[in-house]
Amino acid sequence: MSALKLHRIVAAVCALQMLLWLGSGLALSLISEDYLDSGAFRTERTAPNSDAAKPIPPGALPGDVLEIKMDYLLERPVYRLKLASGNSSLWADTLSPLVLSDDALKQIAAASISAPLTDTIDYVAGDSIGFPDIARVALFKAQTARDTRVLLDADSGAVLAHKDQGSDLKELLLMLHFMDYAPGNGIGFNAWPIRLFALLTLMMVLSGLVSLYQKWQAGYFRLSSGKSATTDLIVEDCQGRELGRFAPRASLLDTINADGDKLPTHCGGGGSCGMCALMFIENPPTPTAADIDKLGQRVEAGMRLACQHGHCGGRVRLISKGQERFWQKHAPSEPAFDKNV
Amino acid sequence: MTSITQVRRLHRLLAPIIGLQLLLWSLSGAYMVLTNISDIHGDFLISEPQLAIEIEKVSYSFAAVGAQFPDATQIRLKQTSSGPVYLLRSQGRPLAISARTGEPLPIPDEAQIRSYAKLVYTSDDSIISVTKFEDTAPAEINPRLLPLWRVDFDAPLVPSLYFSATTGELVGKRHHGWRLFDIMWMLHIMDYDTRENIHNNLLRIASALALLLALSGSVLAWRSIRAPQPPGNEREEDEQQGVKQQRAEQQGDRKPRDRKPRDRQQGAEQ
Repeated sequence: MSALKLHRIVAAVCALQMLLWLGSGLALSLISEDYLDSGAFRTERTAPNSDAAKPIPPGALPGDVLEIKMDYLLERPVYRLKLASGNSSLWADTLSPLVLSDDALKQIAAASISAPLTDTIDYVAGDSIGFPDIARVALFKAQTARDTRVLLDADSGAVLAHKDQGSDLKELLLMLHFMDYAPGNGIGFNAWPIRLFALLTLMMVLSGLVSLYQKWQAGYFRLSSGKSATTDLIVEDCQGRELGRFAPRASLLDTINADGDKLPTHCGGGGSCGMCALMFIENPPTPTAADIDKLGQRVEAGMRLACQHGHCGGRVRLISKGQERFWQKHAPSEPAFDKNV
Repeated sequence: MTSITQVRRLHRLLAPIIGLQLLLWSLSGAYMVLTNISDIHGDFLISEPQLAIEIEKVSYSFAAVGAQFPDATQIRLKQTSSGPVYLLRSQGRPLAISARTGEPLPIPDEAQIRSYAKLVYTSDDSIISVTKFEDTAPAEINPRLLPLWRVDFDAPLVPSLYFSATTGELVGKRHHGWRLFDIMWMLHIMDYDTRENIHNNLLRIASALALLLALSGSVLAWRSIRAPQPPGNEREEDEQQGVKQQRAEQQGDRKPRDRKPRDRQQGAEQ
């Protein structure tokens, strides 16, 4: 299989995802971080004095406490315990287990934001909203133009996040970019779809570059466009009458169609439709894989696809009446064929 | 109206301009999604001992720590091999104090860092170097963590463990997989300076060009898998008939006698 054919097949598979990757990446780059950041109304907490924190007496805690961290809720000190078996929290001023009512949660949420909250409170499972390690998330809505929400861990009272339209857009773009279409557990970039498409895309780009190199070798992308009588291409109809002379362009097809389509093509020069085939009267170029694929044994007689070869001078002939009719319909009236020479 | 030929020309024009960056995006993206992020984080490199806090040995309370360091943040109590210890940040610097006496712990020396590094490192590779960083951190670690010790191990991925020079805590782990990831990230976001800014103009221009390339490529890919359809437009009928004839001739499945009389007439006129 030729590099171009592989490129075309893989591109057909990856095209939509490529557009999503590039579109989401460009959007993330263009949109201001200030808009995507949901912390516009977030307030800074100041730690109150820890004088009220009681010392922890021996035997007051389970035996598997690995770490104790000082925290504060509602102006009261809290011990956050990291246990070998999980996490828990204690009020540090009473050493009683931390239990938070709806009102307490609302006070915590209200203290974290500089905008008023609505009265509603929703509880959602953490693994459905991007916090897989949290059993219950308390969700409050703020009265802002950006649809700001405050998310709390309902058990520990920890502020998990502020979200708004900007962060929702960012999450959507990241979801598309990382192909993680079940982001409830948090957006990750090791999902199997992105791994599969990453390999396909790599294949597409590599085959595209190989194809590009082959085009370059075949004479495309030449910098010089100088006119030279020795490099002109002469096109004849099926009976051998001269239809025009053409100055060099990137490909034979471009050479002939520079001033308007005279040679028909459906694929636009991809070597897949075979409609731009020409017969070389003299010195046909080396056939490409697309030539052989589309024309078979006829390449031995000098037939080539015009789109597959860089400009080369000499005489070529149309191969069908269909091409002639197309030419007559689209070319200027005879004999003004060599307009672009 | 844009013809398919113009679309292909655009595709071929953009391909050499943005092709190399597309290759870099594809390579770096593939590396980043195919490698497991926990491996990149270097979780496999270490296994820190999980010591339960000996509460009965804690005689210095959180309240006392708060009173001694009024600006303290992130106050934590942890068990270490030398007993329970408070870890905190005060005046922007990490600090470790004994939970028995409230006295700042002595700053760990190189021998202690070596010993702890060997303890937490999961393999038995030998240490090739231990370096202290006081004022300038290596690019691969956050300078907020200064002062630091770096311990390098003799292993294929050249793992490095970073320890706080004031508390002795493990604060970072790096290896060649992480370093390569960092380079790939830099190539992906095209920020060759800070490796953080995705809002740079280079990335925006390259993304826009690549989007045009992908759009034109999508049209071509769609076109290449779609069979040509004869239009219903009367004006186009003749040329399409010719095109069909040409295709039939190429395929060798249609003989000249099958041509329509009008085709033959036109041929004779020519």
